[in-house]
Amino acid sequence: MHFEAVYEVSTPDVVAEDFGGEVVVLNLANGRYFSLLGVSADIWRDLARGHKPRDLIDYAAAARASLGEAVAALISGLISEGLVRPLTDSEGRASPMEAASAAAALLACEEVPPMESFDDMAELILADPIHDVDEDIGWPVKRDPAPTA
Amino acid sequence: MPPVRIDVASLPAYGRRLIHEAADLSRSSLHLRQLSIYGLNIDAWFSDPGYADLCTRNIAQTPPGASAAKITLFLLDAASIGAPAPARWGENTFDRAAFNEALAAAGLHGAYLHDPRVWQFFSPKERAGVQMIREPGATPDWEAGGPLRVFLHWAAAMGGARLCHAATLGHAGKGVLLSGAGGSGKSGTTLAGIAGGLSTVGDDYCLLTLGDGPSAHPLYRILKQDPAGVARALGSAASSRFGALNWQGKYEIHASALSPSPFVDRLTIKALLLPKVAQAPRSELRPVSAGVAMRAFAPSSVFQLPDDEARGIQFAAALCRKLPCYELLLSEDAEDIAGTIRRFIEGLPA
Repeated sequence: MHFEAVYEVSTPDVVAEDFGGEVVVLNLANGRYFSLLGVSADIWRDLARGHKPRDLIDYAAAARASLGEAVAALISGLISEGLVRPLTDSEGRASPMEAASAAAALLACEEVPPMESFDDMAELILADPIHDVDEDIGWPVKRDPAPTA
Repeated sequence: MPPVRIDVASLPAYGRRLIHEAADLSRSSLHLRQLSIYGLNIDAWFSDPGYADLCTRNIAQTPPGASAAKITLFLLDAASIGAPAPARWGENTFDRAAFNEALAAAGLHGAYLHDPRVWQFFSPKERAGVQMIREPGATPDWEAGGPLRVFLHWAAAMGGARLCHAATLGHAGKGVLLSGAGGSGKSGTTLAGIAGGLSTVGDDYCLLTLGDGPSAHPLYRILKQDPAGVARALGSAASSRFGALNWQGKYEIHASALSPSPFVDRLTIKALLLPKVAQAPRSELRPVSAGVAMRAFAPSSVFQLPDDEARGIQFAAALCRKLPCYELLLSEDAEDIAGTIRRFIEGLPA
């Protein structure tokens, strides 16, 4: 996982709405959506503002090793879900850690809330309408699996 | 002659061609219906009089308001007008994003339903749209329950309104939105509320405006409910009034089958409720955060429509920030559900 780069939100496929205590992130490409609560929402904001993952992880690890691991796991999830992507010209663009939303919250928190993911809508988006759709019903209702026998 | 095959590159030209060829058709062979919902006056030209009657019967026909936009739709089937069969999709994959991007670059909206081979295009600039199907009746099964839905979505968006997947209940002009995925209890709650004397602007889709305060407007004049839900809310004898079950095994209950009609032209929306089938002894409302409401409301509204997701999400977020939001834990007693919601609405500020 590339933690040294600066990341940005993977627009236009990914849209995030910030409700203060929670950030809701939707991936329009695959229909999956996510909830980030508390300090996890702070970490999302910091990544979106140009803080390097490595700086956030090291800052958390300095307070408690397990906290650093939890921040790394969260950021890995954001990256692997394609919600953020590395900037190609990110050298020298990181923001100072003192300005990070998560700085104070990380020191005060007991744990980093895991990212919660939801895929109940993904079937509508990922259904292949050419091959997967019931001919009598049509998109967006998926065809029952074909009998194997 | 085999049908033409369309790919992303040829898509915008096909859409424009269908719109322009429809506009050039002799109107003498078509059937005009004038439809209206909030913000829209629609001249709808149909090749199939049966489809025209279905849309006229099921679309809300509410006063469009003083600054309504006028749009023209052509709802055509190739067999009736002697046109070539609708094109087929010509690529091995269907990339929804690429499809929408190609049309947006040309100033168009569009949708394609593969198996019934239904094409729908709309030009906001020309305020005109076309639907081309193979033959009379070759629309998807869900069309009767929400006719012309994507056209209403595209056209309403021109004026800043959003078609949303939400039910509504109201009393004395004030109302609540009921949001959640299919099976969450929206329709059953709506029917229970209606049985208890509450009003509605719809149990599945409605039109929302933000303006000075959120308002909901009807799109359709029908409610949908399965036999068990009808029996719970209206009694076991009620279903004999509602005809045959639809493709989902639900009754499509037209406003005219309910007396007095529960439909009103507008509700001022004061709260967002998330129904949850809980088999609770008594129905109960518990406050939830805007984020929780957003997760219930936005995906089911946005992902059921063919495009314009980002603006739909912004709209949903603005609504969730503006409204108090509650989880509604449902009992199985329709009278209790209706009473809980009525008391809640009566306690909301004017």
